[in-house]
Amino acid sequence: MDIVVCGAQKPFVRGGAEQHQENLVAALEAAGHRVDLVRLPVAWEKGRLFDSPLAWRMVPIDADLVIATNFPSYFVQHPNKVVWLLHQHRGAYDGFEAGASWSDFDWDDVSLEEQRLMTEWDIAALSEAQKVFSNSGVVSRRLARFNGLDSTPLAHPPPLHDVLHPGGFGDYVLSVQRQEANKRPQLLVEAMTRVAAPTRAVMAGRGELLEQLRGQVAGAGLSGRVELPGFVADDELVELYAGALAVVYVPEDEDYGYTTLQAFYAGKPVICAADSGAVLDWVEDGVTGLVCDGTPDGLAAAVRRLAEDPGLAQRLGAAGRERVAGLSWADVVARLTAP
Amino acid sequence: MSTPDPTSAEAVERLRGAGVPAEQPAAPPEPSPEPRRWGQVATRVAGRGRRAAAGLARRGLAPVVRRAEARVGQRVHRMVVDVLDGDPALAQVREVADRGGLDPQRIRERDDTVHSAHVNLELLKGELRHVQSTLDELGMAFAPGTGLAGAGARYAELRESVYALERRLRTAGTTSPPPSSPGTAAADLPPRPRPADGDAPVLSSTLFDYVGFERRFRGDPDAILHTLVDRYAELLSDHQPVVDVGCGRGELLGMLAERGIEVIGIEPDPGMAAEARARGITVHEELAGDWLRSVPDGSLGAIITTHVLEHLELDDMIELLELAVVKLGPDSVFISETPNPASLIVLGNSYLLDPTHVRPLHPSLLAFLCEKAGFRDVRLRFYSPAEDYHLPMTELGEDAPEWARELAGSVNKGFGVLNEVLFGPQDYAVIARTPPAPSN
Amino acid sequence: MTAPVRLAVHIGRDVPDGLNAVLSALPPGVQPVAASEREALPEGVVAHLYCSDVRPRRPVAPYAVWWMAGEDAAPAAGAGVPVLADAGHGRPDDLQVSLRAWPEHARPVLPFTRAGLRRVRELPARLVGESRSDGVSWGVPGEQPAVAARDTWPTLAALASAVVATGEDLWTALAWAAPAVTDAASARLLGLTPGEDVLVDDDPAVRTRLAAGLADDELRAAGLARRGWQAACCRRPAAVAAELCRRLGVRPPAHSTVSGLTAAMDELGTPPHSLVRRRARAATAGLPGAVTSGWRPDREEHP
Repeated sequence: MDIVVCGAQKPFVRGGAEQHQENLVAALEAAGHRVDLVRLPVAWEKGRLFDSPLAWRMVPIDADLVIATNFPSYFVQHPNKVVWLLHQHRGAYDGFEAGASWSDFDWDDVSLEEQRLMTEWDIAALSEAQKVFSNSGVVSRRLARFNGLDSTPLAHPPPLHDVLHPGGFGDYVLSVQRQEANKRPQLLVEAMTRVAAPTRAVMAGRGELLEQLRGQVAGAGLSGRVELPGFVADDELVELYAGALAVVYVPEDEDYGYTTLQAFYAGKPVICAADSGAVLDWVEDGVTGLVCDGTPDGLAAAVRRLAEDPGLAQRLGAAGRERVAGLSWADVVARLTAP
Repeated sequence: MSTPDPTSAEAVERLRGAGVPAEQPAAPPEPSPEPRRWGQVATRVAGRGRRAAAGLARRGLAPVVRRAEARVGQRVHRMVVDVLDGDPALAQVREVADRGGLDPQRIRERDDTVHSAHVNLELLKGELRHVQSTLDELGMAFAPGTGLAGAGARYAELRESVYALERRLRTAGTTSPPPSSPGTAAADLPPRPRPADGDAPVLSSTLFDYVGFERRFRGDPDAILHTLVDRYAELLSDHQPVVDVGCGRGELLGMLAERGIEVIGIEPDPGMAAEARARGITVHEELAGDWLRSVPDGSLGAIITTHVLEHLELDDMIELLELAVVKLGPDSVFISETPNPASLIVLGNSYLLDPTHVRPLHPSLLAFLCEKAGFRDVRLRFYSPAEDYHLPMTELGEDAPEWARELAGSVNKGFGVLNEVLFGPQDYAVIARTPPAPSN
Repeated sequence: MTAPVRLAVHIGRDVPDGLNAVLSALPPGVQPVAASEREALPEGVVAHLYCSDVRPRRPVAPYAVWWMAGEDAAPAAGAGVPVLADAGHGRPDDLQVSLRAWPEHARPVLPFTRAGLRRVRELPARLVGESRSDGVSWGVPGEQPAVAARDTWPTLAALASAVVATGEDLWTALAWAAPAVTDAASARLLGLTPGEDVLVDDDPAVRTRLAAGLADDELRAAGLARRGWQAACCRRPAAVAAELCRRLGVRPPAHSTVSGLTAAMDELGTPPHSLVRRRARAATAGLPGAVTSGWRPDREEHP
């Protein structure tokens, strides 16, 4: 089958969505399809919000199947359109609702009309699709709450899933994420002040907050107990996962987050917060990990609990590994291309 | 826009401001589902029995024009939006328009009218085709050879053979005469209510009260009488004496006599004959054939018979016509008025209503028989079309669009044809003349 | 000029008003044409619509059937033959046509947007609007409702967390995508699926309770709002015409008199004065002839 994967991209920015689209293309090709990836730029601010959707509307695509991924690529018109939704225009929905700094929507008539029109356009574009999948329960829930649309969560294996492996339960908790505000990395740093030695923390990943965090660690006298190595190469990361006691992942309302799944592939329990969004699709308190209240104290208590009872960490980690055993790209491809 | 947008602050103010009781009378009644349910039942019932022609008649053309107009507004709105969205081509057209060349708005409105008219035309064509095929099926059912054109005649033939069969069956099964009913004047009289030539009984029922039936169904006798006088008195006055075959109570002859016309009545029913005599008219109380045979050849001026021939057997009718030719003088007239079975509504209603009708007598058949009997000049006259039922003609004013007037024209033509076949003249008369006297 | 795409229409008995509306709303470039079994089909017929006792004997082209009110038996479904009917007469999957006028200004406002508008207009966060035969009222569930003028109903239809309405007011509510509660008769009349498009109960007290429940259940309310609105939308003649063409596989010729941008924005439901229309206009203003569909400046007539 000739398949076109559609994705939006902000020029010069590369993140999870871009990576995801390329992985999808590779998986489809592996299944024997001829695949091309079509990308158009996107702008997020109110004034230019509808430009890119309209552009997608006019893009002539001849293929047997079109798979659209993120906003606004699902505005593409095709009789056989399948959407695997990574996210909508978050600034018009959940970002607006939460008053997020990165949303330029405000409580005024203009914003609300743009928001309303966005909602209507989304309903129109997504209703045309033969099938609508989402990449997580959170995205599905947003689609249901904001647009009244039904969708089916469809999970896929994270990067490195084929090399991640379980190992011993060491003396450190691991966090793997970009050091950015919505991931709340400072929570773990603060929590570590309330966790006794010899338990350590390793926080892998770059990000705009990296230097600030290093300062925070030094200021709290945690040097040597909290490591912030910045970028970590894949093979090193795999071993970090393998030797960790647990993985800490406490973002605020995350859409997806590969960290959770990677931790499960490595047989590690995940400590998350009650407001961590899609992470909660996977982390069940006391079953595959621990769900804390999102405060430094709560997080510290969870870390201590696992440090004191490595057997629990092992049981939770095994359950997590069990949870992801069924994930495969072949299954994803089969469901996306099913007639 | 006079009303504020419902989501505006102004509209919300109105909502808040109306803390006072709402104006109750302004509340329109809620559309209740009840009428609709009844409506559905009604539609179902109507739908079954309704003929396509009736549907056309009910609607006429006016709604079609309305349909054409209804969509235009909406489409124009869409077009205007399109213009606003700046199809550059239209911008160019607009430029031309600004320089005084074109009015794009009017072009679009015209396009729209054309589109609407097209849809309506197609719908109308579809409806007419349906009517046409329904009528064709009807025609084929009656007369496979000729279709609707020959349906009337074929129907007559069929009825004739059905009745003939029926009579044969009945006479074959009856050995003793049926008991005479108390309503019959005399037991030894032939049990027919109307006079007729020949010997065979016309009406196979001895129980049927024809006089009562006639009073109820034939309509106001006075009006009928005056119509007859208006139609024929002048002609008859030139051809005396006038013989009324089956004169009944002699009403027509009475009025002719009042105009100084010499009249003779033939009426085998003694009761009626007596009533006719009471008007001072000469009435022969016997069968028409018998009486005609008894008078000298060429001695009569005119013979008139109304609503009689359709009660006669074919052979009796032919004999009557042949006798008439012999007994009438040169250039005399024979007039017979009967219901017109070529009008389908007559055939389906009044004709079948009268159980003593032997067969529908198609005008062409009667004309043919008259010709065969020896009349020289045979003419048919048709009276009283069933105008109450006519499909309406549409008349559009000069201001109506050209396409609408064209449409109206062709529909009217079609309706005209349908009116003729379905709701044509209810009565007809044959007026036959004997050959003039040979000149010396 | 490409040959016109034609839809053959077979008519018997009556022409339902809905049929005329649907045919008039066919996409540009698709022409309806009267046809009968007795004569040759005009050129370019790609599909048939039967509004008649006569049904195709040997269907060679895709066809659809109009189910007349009064016909007892449903047309043979299955085999993917689209069935059209008057709203309230057909089955859920049929293309039901409603000739009700679309309320002026109506546009879908889903619960999240409604909540935002209520916040901006300083209305209660939970607000239920109710229309009865004796008037319109609104208020916070559990409190004494306020009476309002009947002509404020569109405002309630656009802003309330949930509404209770029947008949024409329900239609207005659906056009504004209000999560709605109604009675069985109204739902049937508009051909709505109870529990999917609207909540249904014949007891007014229960209806009020259901609406109060919707005001607290954003997820349920959003689903109802979206489905109710789409159900109403797809009963409009133009939507039925478009869906009919889609199901019959009738593709209008690519070149039409409406520019692609406009068509795209219309399909998405863009209001006439929306900013994005102006942006699209501005973006193509410098490119005369870019979307002319074969228009030639030396010709007076638009193709």
